[in-house]
Amino acid sequence: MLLESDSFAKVRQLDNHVDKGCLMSVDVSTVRRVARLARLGVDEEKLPALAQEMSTILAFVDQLNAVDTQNVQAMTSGVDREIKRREDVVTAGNQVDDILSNAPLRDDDYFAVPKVIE
Amino acid sequence: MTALIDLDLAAARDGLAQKEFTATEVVDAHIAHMEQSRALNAVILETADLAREMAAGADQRLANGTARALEGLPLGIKDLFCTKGVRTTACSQILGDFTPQYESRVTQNLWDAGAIMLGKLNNDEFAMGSSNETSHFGPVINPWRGAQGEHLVPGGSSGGSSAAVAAHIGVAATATDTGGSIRQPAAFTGTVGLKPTYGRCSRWGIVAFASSLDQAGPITRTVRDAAIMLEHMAGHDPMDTTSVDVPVPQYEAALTGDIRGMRIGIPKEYRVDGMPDEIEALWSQGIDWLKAAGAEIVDVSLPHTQYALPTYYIIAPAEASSNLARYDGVRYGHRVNGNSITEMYEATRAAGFGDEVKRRILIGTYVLSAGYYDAYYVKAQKVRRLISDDFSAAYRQCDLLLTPTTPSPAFALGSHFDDPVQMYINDVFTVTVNLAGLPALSIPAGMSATGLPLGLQLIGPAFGEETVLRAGHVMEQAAQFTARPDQWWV
Repeated sequence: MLLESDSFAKVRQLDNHVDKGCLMSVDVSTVRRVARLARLGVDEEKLPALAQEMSTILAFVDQLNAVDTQNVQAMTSGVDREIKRREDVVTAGNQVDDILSNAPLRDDDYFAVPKVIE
Repeated sequence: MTALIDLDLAAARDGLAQKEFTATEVVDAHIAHMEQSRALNAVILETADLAREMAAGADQRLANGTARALEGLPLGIKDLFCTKGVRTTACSQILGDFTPQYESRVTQNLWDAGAIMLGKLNNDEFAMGSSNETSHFGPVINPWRGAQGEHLVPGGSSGGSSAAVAAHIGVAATATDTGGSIRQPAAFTGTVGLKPTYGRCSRWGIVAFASSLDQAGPITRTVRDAAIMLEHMAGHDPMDTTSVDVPVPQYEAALTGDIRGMRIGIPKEYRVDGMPDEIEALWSQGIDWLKAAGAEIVDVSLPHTQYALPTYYIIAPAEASSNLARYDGVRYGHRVNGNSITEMYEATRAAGFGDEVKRRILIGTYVLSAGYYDAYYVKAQKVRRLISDDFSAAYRQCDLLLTPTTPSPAFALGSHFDDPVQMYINDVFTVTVNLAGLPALSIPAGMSATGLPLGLQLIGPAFGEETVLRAGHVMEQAAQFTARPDQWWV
């Protein structure tokens, strides 16, 4: 719990910088946190180099702050058309073996994973 | 007679129809050449048996009068396309020996038209790269070599596709383009690359990188071949809601040779600082060709061009980090065991993804995380709107835009830029097009001082592929690009 509130405080701190238009460079603890969010195992010794790379890329993208985007609507799709809908009907099914055919570990008709609940 | 591997797609098609040779002969010649070209590492999985089987079927159809539009033509397929029963990896270790139980829509369309699969082609891991050096299967070698014989990159991410077509391994290849991955490799290898309008081809069954930018298209040796390929790749698909339900034209019919009165826009912002003189000269040459053919040249402005790369390097990693969340070792691909499920996820993804992919997942996760979403991701989507609006404004003054495809010819293998941003600069003339969802064509237009191909790019308005192809065909005839790499690898 302590950890959780701690990291929220940190985000809020960073937010202040964002509001001021001054995006911080990324430190090692931020990379560790982001890697955790991405479920990406990263060796401790690689963290400083990754922090450096991420900082370089973020410094590069920070130039977008120079663009006035007040009253601009975000573009959320590559296609400027209404999406075509199809009928809400079942078109496929009964493909258990196809679906499981690439499973790293299969148990009967299920994907098998390490224990989730003790 | 021209050797069978030296026929372009249209010539092979016409020869098959005239019964000058059989599909089996065409396919056997290409298989033999594919096997002799392994040094290029363009093909990561040869499907020779399947190709021979498909060729036998094609010959039956050619004999009994039921041949389809692409009957008997051997193609290379980028490993981003799911192929039923044939290993598909996106050139990532994390997919292991993933063998799809279904076919991508684009490849299904090609097989339905009678085309034949020669093999799966190398690419940057998950299509993330501009040099094909991030592939788990190792880099692809460009058939074109440097002045001192040094190895060059074939561009990326569709480096296997560009190399395979330039080396005449296949008559054409499928490719995908998220930030320039069809056009930049085409420019680096003296081939033709066509990125269609977003929504023109179905993305169903294509391993996703950045879903609002990804689009499939062909790499070919001529503009006519690109027109033929696109016609048989495109179309609406109920399985991809973003594929647009508009009729697919007969693109080949658009190649009339007549561009009189067409207005070609020259965007002044593409005249970037430090652009090499030879790129500048090539661009002027392209303008002269189009003028000589009766087109009118118009100066236009795309004022937000300089923000395209930073916008792209927020949106693409953000979408990638979301798309790549599915690779967790549970349902398919590579798994590394752990004591808990979280440990398993983290270990699987640590071992399965390469460095560039990890870098983009981290950036993407960061810009989407609480507190940063608006400052980065939404901001980038707003600038994307402005970039797209720039194009809309330009198309009120002109029909097409002409630009260079890349700021340089192919660079040396292993250049290993220390700064990732340096590598991203390769995409400076191509990413704007993906952000705006537009069609664009790269054609080989000239040679660098070092004897390497250079490309020019034509950009059209949404669903303006016919206009793009018509002008590209005229430029191709003017350029008379006939240079070929010597076959040092055979």
